[in-house]
Amino acid sequence: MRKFTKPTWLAIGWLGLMMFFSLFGWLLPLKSWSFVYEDDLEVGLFSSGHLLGTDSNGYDLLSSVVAGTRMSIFIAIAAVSLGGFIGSVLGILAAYLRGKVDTVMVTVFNVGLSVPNLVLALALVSVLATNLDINQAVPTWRRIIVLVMSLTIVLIPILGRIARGATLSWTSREFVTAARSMGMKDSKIILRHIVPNVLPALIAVAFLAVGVVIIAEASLSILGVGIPDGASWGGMIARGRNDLEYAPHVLYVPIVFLALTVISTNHLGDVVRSKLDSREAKV
Amino acid sequence: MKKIFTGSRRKVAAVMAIALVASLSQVTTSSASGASTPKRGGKITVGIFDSFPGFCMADNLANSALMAGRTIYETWVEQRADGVMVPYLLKSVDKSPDNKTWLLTLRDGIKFHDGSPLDATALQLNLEANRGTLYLNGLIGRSPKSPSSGTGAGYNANITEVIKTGAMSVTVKLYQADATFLETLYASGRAFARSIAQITGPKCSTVPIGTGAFKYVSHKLTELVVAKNDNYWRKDAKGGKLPYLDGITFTFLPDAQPRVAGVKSGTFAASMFSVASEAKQMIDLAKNKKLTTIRSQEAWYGSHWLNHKIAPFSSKNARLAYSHALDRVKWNKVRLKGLGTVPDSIVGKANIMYNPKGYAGYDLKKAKQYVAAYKAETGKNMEFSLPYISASADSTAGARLYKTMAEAAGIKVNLLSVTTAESIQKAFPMQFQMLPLLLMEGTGTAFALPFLVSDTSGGNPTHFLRGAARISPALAGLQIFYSILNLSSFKDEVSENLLFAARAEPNKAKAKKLYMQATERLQKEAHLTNMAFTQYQLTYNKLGGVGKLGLAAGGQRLLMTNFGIDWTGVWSTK
Amino acid sequence: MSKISFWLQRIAQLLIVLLLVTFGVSLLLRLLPVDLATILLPVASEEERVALRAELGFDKGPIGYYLQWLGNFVQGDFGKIYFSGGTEEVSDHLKEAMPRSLLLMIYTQILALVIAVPLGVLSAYRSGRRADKIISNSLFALQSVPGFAIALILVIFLGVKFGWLPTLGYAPISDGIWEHSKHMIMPVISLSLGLIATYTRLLRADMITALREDYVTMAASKGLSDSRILWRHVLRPSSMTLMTSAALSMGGLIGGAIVIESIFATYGVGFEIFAAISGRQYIALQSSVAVIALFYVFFNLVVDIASGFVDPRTRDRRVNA
Repeated sequence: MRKFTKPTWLAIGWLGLMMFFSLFGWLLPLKSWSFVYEDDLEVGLFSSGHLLGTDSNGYDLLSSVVAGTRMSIFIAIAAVSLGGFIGSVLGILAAYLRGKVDTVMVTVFNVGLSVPNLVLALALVSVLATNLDINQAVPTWRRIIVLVMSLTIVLIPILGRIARGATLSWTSREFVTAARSMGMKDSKIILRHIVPNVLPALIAVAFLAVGVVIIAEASLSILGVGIPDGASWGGMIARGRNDLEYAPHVLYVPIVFLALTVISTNHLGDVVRSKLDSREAKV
Repeated sequence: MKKIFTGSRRKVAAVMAIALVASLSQVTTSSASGASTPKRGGKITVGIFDSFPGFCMADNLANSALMAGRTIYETWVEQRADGVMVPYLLKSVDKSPDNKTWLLTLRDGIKFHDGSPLDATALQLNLEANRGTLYLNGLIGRSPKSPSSGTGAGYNANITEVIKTGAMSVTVKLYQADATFLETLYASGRAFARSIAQITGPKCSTVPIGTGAFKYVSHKLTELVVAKNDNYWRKDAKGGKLPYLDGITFTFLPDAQPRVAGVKSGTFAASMFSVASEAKQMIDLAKNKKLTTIRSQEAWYGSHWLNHKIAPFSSKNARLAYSHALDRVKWNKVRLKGLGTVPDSIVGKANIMYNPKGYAGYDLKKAKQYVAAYKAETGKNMEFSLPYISASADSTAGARLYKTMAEAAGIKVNLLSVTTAESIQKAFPMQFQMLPLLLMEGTGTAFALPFLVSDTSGGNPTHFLRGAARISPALAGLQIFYSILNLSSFKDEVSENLLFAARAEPNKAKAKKLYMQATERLQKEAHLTNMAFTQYQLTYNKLGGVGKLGLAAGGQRLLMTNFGIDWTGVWSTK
Repeated sequence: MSKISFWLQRIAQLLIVLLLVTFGVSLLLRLLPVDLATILLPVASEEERVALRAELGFDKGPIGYYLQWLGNFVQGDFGKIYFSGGTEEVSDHLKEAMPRSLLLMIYTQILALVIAVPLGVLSAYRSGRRADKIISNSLFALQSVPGFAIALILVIFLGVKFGWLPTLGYAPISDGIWEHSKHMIMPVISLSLGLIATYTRLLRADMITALREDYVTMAASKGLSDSRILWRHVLRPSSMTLMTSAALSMGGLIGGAIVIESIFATYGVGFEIFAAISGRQYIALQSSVAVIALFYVFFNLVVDIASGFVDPRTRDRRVNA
């Protein structure tokens, strides 16, 4: 393996830190993210006792942002793995089988793509999170599942199309045609010859998709359909909008975390892709 | 009667300095911009925090949108700064000694914007529309379909008959004696004179036709544009024509920041404020020497309605546990930035009902005891869902704080995310387990009473809504209007009888005593509770004449209320 | 494949996409575990709800309902917004929102292209050198910062701290160009920064490939100046991917700017959709989404036509891709 450049190490380091926060953040000796510090309202960055300050409701920003890591990273990883898996299977099959299956799949992908991501996610979340008994609050876990499901559905056509495109460039290669003519089973060809070749491209895209999902989750929070109870970066940004004039640090903190994470995943996606493609990276 | 907002959306700020008991509303900054000679002309824009759902009887304009609506519409009576109701569109009011028959006589020569006269026919039709007879007639096919009266039906259920007794006068007969009938007729500034064409036409909701100083030009959910009414009936002190301004655009901006920026930069001539998270902005603006800031009395009582029909608040233990769990000092500090007043009764000090006795204030120990008592009573842990508007950062923050407080007492709270539309739909009639919603307001009781009794008709067996059930079983549902505003959905005969007796009592001191007893009972049963006594603020830039124009019947109206100021006598000094 | 049948097939494909999208939304509404008439008319008698169900075709089953909606939609009847009485037409709302969204989209594209083209040319020309690295890295970082974050930071500085620009609202061109642009600057910047990065990278990559082509080496050997070669001989053939990408992003920009539109209260189509969802105006939602899909399909067709004319090879590729 070639040596990584400095930015790559930084990206890996940042994402590692975020993974650490999301898995073991609760073990850190931090203040409670849900406690209201009524005597420390809206204190600035680097205040004693509140390293990143507090918001106008007295919530400690450092512990909120660490707790938010768990939600944002979990949703991103869950949606990308699910969407990536389903999308890849559909895309690879479509490209490999061609014919009617392909036509149907391409149409389905196009249908999904013709509605802007956020509109689709918004509509799905608001429909799927409706409850029959109005006093039965949709529990947080169900909201998370709905959110993951909706973002998964949004990702499927995007990733499916890419998987299909990548597969197409391999199905016409000699070794695939050769395997076919030798009567090798389709499932075997796909698993042996297609998947290993398509996978790196998909991984590269998956990194980008993690960034897309984190941003989408935050956007949904800003629009008021995110996870209300509990901490997520998007939720912090949504709540911080009210503090914009008098305590902008309430916005900067989650925005910086979010942006650094997305920069890191995008960068790693690029690194993976350029490793695949020794020529100049083409978007 | 107002449009809903859950959470803290309306729990607003209060006086910074100690409010003197008698102070009605104070100007916190005196402005240099007060050229005292009126200047005519000019169009201004005003930033507000409520939207415009419509203009018919059932469309309740909230607070700052009501301020905008009241440039087009006027009320039959008006509240004077000392709290007394005086005739406004009416010339005079006479009543029988038993407070059951009221003769209302209109001023002469007033015309609606469509040119039709304001006469007894119009007055009668408005009262009938408001109490729902027109709507009912439409439903049973006796007359063309008429729009619903909404909660107005509940307000006016005590009326048995509206009779035209002259070209300009109408007699209203009541079922129970009501010494405060004029307050009901005012409905806290909401019972307007609408033209006959508007009420009976297809555009009742979209094109308001009133008698006010400004005429409707256009509107959408986020904006109302009005223009000068050249034939307005009131005149200024020198006999000059009113209003001074050529037009006003009221712009709905849910976030405080653009309203602050707008009034600071002069893009807006004025901005109105209310929300808890706006406390910061309100304090900041009041300090601004270039602007003038006025605030209302602390006559808004951010209530929490506890639904008696379903668990857990069907249990008195649960209600007391929750009421004792609410740390109102903390709320005031965190959410209102110290701008509110910590409540010690379900209504404020200036209200005739005010009585601290029996109020279940913050007491964590007691809260835990009642939680334990609830468990002993029902065998279940206390738990409920708290609705909040997830699109509002402010409502979300409020809900989180309620949750924290309740959980400190051992009550489990699930946050129930709703949209504004859903919350309205499910609050009338009440389907939530509970709802924090500012509805009770004012220094009087006529506006508050429908929230506290189970039948606003006072049990009137001959009331037309009861009759409707006999005509068609499908219409029985209309009786819901008797209690639709009682969001806690309770029937307490003790407090109800006290309230009705107090309403009938013409002697003010005696009435006060009865009201206070009713309050004590309501508080001991914790039928509802509240978070803070709050107020509203208007900050303006380069305006003259605010609060200067007197009432037609003499005296001044309240300078500032939840529905802002009167724009008739205001001019631009720009 | 003959030209005509190619176009017919392409148009048929797009029509199918349109039908499926609108039918999908229609089905989604059916998934709601509640009665739509009750949602639309919360305060009404049962008779009024029965009438509404009949009027909108809720009583006809999913397909019947969809066909009725489609029939109305094709005739320009987009349904109503049922705020107190149902007198607001969805089409009136869209008529107001559409120009805002279109202008927002056009300005965003213009700004993005005006900045991206020189940057792309420069970084391709200086490929691998410092200028290229600075441009590439800073654009990369910018691309990763979500538009709403940029929007909020712009509001803090340009709007609140310096007070140069209004933080909210929209002014039509009839209010004066300056007033109009003041309201558009921040939303347009927020939307275009991400695009600038994408476009620059696309152009840079294509131009680097093109610079290696023989005809460029030949032109250089003929003694043509660098700038002439770059702008005349390299940029034009390299801009195809860029134009395709720009056209394809238009559909998304029209409805996809929800967050930016809600931060700046621009009230374009995206915001209409958001308002429809949060106000539970499902008919409005259905029609607005259909309009967005229509735009998406339209721009796709434009790309097809353009690329078909420019390069017949792409045409065939697009049929397969």
